[in-house]
Amino acid sequence: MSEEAELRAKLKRAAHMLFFRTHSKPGVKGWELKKGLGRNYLQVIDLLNKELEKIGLRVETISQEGEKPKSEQDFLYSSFFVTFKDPPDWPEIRGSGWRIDEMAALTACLSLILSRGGKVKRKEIDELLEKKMPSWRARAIIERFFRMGYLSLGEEDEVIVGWRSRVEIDLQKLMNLLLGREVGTA
Amino acid sequence: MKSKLKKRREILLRILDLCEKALKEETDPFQVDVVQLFGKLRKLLPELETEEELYLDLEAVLGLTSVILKQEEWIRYRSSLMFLDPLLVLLKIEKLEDKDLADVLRRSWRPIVEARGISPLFLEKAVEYWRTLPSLEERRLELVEASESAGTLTLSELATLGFASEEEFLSFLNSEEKRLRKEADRRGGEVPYWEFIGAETFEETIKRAYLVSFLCSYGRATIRRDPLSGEMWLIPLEKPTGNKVSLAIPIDEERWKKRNVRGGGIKS
Repeated sequence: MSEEAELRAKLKRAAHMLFFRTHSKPGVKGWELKKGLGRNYLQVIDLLNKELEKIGLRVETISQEGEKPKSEQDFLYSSFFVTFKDPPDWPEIRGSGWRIDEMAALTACLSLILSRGGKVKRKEIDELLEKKMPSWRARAIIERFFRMGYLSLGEEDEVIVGWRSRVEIDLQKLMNLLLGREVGTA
Repeated sequence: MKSKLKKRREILLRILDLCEKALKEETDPFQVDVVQLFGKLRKLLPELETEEELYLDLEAVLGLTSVILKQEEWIRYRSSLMFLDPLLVLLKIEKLEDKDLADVLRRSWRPIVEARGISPLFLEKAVEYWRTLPSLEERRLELVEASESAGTLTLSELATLGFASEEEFLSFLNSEEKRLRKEADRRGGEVPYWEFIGAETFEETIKRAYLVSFLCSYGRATIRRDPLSGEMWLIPLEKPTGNKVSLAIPIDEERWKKRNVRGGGIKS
């Protein structure tokens, strides 16, 4: 097989590995990609990223600590995901099944957690959402965020930012947008 | 002499207490005057006599070092852009409309794109499930049987099962637990449920099933169920676990006969 054909085959395999979910949680570990694509897996991912950018997607990598990996060893134990390259438009969101009040609730939960140094008591989250919606609805939404990985439970049952939020949401930008937002400017 | 010793001990303990409070509570670690406290420790050091005092001194130094580390973290956090006034954030959340809050998320959001894949293992399990799935007729029969309503046992019914008093019941429960543990040890940790409760008579089988249900409720045993075959295994537990699941197992004479557990159970 020529070098180009081999690279193309690897590119295809990388796309399959990243898109198709085989674990309970999405994402593929660096060592799994290395096993499937060979030693130069990071170059293949780089190439795939360039291809994906053309259709508005990108490969996002996040370390076990929830940060960008720095060393080669970090990459091995990091998770790789395919995400949107740019934020979705409203029509895309409408088609995804997300409701406005759920999105607002997630913004509220995440911003409260971030403003408190990364963790808050579950009761505080409940109380915050119950100001805007019935308590049963608030509880159901929070449970859903836990299930999806947007929120998770830390030590002493405190609510912390979940793995999915770290992958999907630019938390710094979220806070800047929230604080810079003027009341009544939809 | 003793009063001096007591005073030194008190100072050391007070420093330790201060450090602990600063580390545990989410208060400003700069409320602890580290320089002043290190000065105190330096003054005290030549006077320390006992091993306990020296140990407390060491603990205090370590505590103050941890406070310094916390102070460093505090500065880093406060100086970073991520530090935001919680009150201001709360005010914003309360004042902004849902649509505004949702738009904040939308503009900072890049959702994961994924497709659910079917692995060979998943296909293998699915084929096995389909192969062992009873026909619709059989399942209809089972559904009708399962729809029998659950009820409670009265004291007289309990007496017919052979439980005359609470003490007697507990002694039966303990002997059943011992039997389960012995059998599980022999079989490598698990005992098939129907085999364990199976007895010579239907009444005895019911009695055993009843005792097993108590063992599970008290967290002394648990039941593992194979989702595909429906077979159940009893597992004795060393410590009660928090993960309790509710499992209803219908037993009637027909089912007992069908299971062919008559006389095939494990002897007491």
